[in-house]
Amino acid sequence: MPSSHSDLKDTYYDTLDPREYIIIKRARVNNLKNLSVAIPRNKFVVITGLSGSGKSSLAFDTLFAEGQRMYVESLSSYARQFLGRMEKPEVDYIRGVSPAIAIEQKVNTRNPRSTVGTSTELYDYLKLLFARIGKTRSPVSGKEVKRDTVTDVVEWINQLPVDSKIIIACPLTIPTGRKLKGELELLLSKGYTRVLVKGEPQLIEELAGTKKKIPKNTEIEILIDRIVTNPTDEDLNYRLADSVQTAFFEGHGDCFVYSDKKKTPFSDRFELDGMRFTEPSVNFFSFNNPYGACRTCEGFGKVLGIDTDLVIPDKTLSLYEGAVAPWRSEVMGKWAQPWLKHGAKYDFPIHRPIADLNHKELELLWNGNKDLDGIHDFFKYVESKSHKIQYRVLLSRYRGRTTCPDCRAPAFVKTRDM
Amino acid sequence: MITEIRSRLGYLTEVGLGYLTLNRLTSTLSGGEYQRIKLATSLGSALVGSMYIMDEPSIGLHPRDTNQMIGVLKTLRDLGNTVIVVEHEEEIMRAADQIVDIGPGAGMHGGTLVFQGSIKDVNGKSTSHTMDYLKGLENIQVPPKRRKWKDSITIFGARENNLKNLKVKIPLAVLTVVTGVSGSGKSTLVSKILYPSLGRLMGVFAETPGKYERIDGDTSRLTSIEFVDQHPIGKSSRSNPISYVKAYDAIRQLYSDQSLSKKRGYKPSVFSFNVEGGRCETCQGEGETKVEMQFMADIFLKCESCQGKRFKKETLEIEWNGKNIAEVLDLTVEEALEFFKDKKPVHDKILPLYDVGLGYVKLGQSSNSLSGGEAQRVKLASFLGKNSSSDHILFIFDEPTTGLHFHDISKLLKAINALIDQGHSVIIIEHNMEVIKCADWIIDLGPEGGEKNGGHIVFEGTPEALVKSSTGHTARFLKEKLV
Repeated sequence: MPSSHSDLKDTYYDTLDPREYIIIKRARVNNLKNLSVAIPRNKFVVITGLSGSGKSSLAFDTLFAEGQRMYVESLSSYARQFLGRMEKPEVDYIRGVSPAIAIEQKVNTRNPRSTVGTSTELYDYLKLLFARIGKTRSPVSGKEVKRDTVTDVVEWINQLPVDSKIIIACPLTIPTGRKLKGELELLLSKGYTRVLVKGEPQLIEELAGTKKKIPKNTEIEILIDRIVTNPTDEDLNYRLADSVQTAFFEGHGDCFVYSDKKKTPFSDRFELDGMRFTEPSVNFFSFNNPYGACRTCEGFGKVLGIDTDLVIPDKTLSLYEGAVAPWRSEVMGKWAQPWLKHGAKYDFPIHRPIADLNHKELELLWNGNKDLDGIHDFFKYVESKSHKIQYRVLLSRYRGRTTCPDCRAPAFVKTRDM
Repeated sequence: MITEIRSRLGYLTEVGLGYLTLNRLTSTLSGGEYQRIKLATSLGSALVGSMYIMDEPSIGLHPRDTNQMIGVLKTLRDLGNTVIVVEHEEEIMRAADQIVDIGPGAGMHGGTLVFQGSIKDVNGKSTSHTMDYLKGLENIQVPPKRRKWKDSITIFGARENNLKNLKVKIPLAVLTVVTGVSGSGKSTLVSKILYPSLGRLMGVFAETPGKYERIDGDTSRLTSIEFVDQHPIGKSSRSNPISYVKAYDAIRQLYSDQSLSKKRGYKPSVFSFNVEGGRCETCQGEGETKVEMQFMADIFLKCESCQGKRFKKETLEIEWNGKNIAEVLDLTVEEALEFFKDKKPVHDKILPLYDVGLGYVKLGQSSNSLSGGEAQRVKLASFLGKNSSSDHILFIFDEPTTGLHFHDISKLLKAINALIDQGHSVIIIEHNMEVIKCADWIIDLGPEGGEKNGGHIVFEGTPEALVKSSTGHTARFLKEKLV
């Protein structure tokens, strides 16, 4: 590579191979003076010079502009009408331009939903990861929440000792406005012959024909099948799967397996411990989707509320020294009075700086108790009086964007609330 | 999928953004951080054979982080891409396969290819300022002695963001540099706490300060506070550098004092293109007219009646020293200094623009075409021009070397020192070692970036003492500069 280019003939650039160099010939953009340069490909090149010497004119206004223009030129004339017209940079020619990606410094988004995670696309991967391999656990028992499939039930049955007698059943739900008798007849016509009353098998015909009154809320289940287990019998396995499938259908998602009088429930719904859960999905893990976003702050993590730092601006002061800013005035000082008088009764240290208070004492200060009105009570009172201008002004002074009280800023909904 | 996530997180740490949380809002990121995020994203894509053009990726990076950045750029190249970087940072230039130097001067004096090749190819003095600096033939002088200070301001209990309950003493009437690795809390300390809290004391409009307990010291010594940032000075095409430094008034006065003006009764306002009178009414002094094309970008055409001169023919008949007002607006600052050298009031008003390294800017260039760094220096120049000895202004500069070449940095330092000599105080947030080594007082934050390891004071004192203490990353890099 020759080190001094100023004495080179312009024709030199015509001889270079555009597969090896990006060749700019006689650029006249802005203050560039017929500048010709050959930039080697696949190299790390720094363009430098004094401020205003024309670095950016060369890099952005010439090279990038041409790269982009060529891309636009490649589109159909129909598509081009939607794009701005691009000026051809003032240059004799540029050869060997690759698709250009300019990474500039402008932060051109002010959208509060755009975060580091979303703009690096990391967030998209994390959403997928959580949705695909995420496990839901019940907050009551700590067990994993699973949807039972037919295969799950069959496998469970097959792990029972060989030759166990089992019953596959499902609950009989009577739709409102229909009688038990009618339902039983319907079952008969569907081809079922037995039901379980309180776990005891009984013929449907007998039950329907009986004069005895069956009390409401009696647990009646449809007996779907009775089987003696044998995992090696393939035909039996087919029959099992068939029966379980029928049970889930008739039981609207519920299926029971009795073995030795022991009832094991299965459900193909996403629930555990009597709670229904939302199945993890990609949208569920997006705070930009109403499905996953916290209801209160709509996924922003912040809501308009009382800013604690404005209420207690200097945490080295004690309550006595006027730590609570809105209580400093003469009128509002009456809210602080009960604390100063009776604070000791509830072990509240009025002379201790706020920063040194423990969690319980802070809680008391904010929420109060039956005798003392806390800061929250104070603001509730102010809000109730907000038809008066002075209270509105007071309120606005302490209002700020605060952490959402519901989700504490992770911006997601708690799963079991669904 | 996990590997994908891992590699992306890896790229983020590689570009020096390990301290960011994923739910940090994009709108709160600095320009440099955002650029690096985009860079990390491009690394994640498997695109090859393209041309990456980057504008100063080292902005806002401490020298320690710059080395990591170089690694990233090289990875991008090794993937089979052409990486083109517009850059002034020494480390990055040294790491480059090839340097393309445009110059030799700026503006009128620039625009030609001065040098192409790697550092090894140069022997002896060359025509390129860049090479001379890299070779150490030209360099920025370390000041012979540090200024002493006695007045100071102290911030107590600074706790905003990651600051760890800091007590910081900031000396007055000297050049203080606040430094530290990216994310160590420099900007939080200065622009979120110091500026707003002092601003409130001074009665300057300021946003709510971050969390701190109190501010104390010789605040009464200061008469005002100025935050000189890189925001553009005006979006209007009617604002320009000479009106910003108030030199235009003097020029207009000069033209209205000419005998022909007197005869015709022209007032100074006739020579303004912003009010009716002397300006071209067809384009209302803009010099160009806008043609709206419905589906395409608007087209700007040179105004037909004034040929882009912005003034009426009658106004242009008034000449001084052989040039009319439109021709004067077309002069660069450097040329104007020569042109007005006998007219002291005008000359003195324009001189600060030259002093801050804006000699290549045209007097009538509209402000919206100035870069962020240029705008910052125009602001600086306007303060240099004021020169009133009774004021004690505290100036805060946020990375003033952004977009500046070595050669310009030395000019900038001269201008800043001139401010201090006038009795003002200067605080600079900066990573550039050339600036740090010229400081009178250094406040180094760190030791690392982010919530957990940042926000402590690593060092307070003079550059020599910092090198001696050899604590923190800054000390390590400063050592090379001070021997």
